[in-house]
Amino acid sequence: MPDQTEILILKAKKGDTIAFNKLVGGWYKRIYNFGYKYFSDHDQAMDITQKTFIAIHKNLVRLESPQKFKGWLYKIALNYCREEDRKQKKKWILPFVNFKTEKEEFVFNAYESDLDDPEKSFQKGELAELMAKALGKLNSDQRAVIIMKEYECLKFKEIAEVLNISENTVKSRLYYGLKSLKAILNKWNIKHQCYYF
Amino acid sequence: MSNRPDQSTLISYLYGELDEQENNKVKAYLEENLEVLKEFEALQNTRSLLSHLEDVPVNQPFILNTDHSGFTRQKNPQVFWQRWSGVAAALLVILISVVVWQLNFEIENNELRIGFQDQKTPPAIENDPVYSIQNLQDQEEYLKMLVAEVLKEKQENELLEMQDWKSNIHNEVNALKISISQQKSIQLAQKPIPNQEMTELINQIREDNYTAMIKLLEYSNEQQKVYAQEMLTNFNDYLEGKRKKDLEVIEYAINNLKSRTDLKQEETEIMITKLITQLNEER
Repeated sequence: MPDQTEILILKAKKGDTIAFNKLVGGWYKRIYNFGYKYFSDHDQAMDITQKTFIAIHKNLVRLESPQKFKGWLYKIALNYCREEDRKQKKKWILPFVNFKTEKEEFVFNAYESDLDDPEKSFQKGELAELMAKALGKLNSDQRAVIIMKEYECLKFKEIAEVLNISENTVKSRLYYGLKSLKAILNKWNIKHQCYYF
Repeated sequence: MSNRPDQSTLISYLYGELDEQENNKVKAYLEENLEVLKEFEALQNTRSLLSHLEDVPVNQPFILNTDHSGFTRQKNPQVFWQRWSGVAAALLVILISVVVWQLNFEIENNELRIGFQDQKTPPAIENDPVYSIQNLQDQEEYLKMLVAEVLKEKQENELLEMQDWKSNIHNEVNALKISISQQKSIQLAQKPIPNQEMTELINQIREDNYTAMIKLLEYSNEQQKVYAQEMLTNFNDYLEGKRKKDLEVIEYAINNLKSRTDLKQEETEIMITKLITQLNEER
């Protein structure tokens, strides 16, 4: 029995714009986060998300089977990520405003503040930022595999289809990717025990 | 031959994608070989660190839920044929209804006439000469009647107007008579007032005004005092309430902080104790 996404794809293929809009609504967050984890940059993530859905809209009629939609979607997104990566390597970008360093206004609220465990919340945010940086240090193949497996929860078979490689190669890239990540984190003196004592 | 799981198997085991038999094999091997277990744990720890990078919330794009996407339709031939088959079906229904009801279409003198079967429309009454003469006579009589009615109405209105005018004049004359008689009586009642009486009267009026002013000021002062007192009391109550609430918030925050600090201290003490015992054991 076809699931909700498959029904929407079939309707969208027939020209039902409402179904296509629903499809976009359902996958927008996932593709944005895929792009965000790939680049650690909001603008680039937004850019690839928009490009991906425009491409989907243009070529949805050509999609043979709705079951292949997920892999196809990530394949397009990944291609745009790589394209953006290549463009980025060619030019030297200096951000005009560094939003992350801007201080947010502090408003104290005893009932809703991080008073419960401010240390932990600070650590959590700090670690997330470091993990994003560490992911950025990996090569693009390993990074893509880790993001697809760890955050997008794709099966090895699906990742293999997206990348057009064998399942064993996917696993191998994931293995070495995790090892490289560990080495980077060790270099920065970030260990599992630091955050889980 | 070594049963050591290769990278691929280890990764599948890490993500729980091995079948039960393979899973048990790897589990048993890891229990026996600490080196591989360490390697596996390192991978597991890296994964758990990765879980700290959570999804970023993003607003969904503004989507118009309309069916007006021109370029989609152009590219989809099925939609095109669906639309034209609808038009064809509508035309077919019209044709069938024409045949079934035997509708008759006629165009004469810039007029479109739709009729059932072959019934011919009756000739226009306007073209009948007998009818037109009778109609003219009727119209003439009707016009005469109208003129007579209008004249009669006019006369009646004139009579009524005359009566109204007469009564108005009569009223006005009476009013003038009354006013003249009143003026005469006032002139008779008026006498010259002496200066002394006049000054006394003015002084009296001044005194009355003065006392009235004092009373008014006293009254307004009292009112103002009452109002100010009420306002101060209300403000005091509000400040008291606010202070109590602030104190409650501060107390809650301090208690919370204290309990967390105590907990942290306890955890640290436990950690130190464990470390000391471990060190002692090692010695």
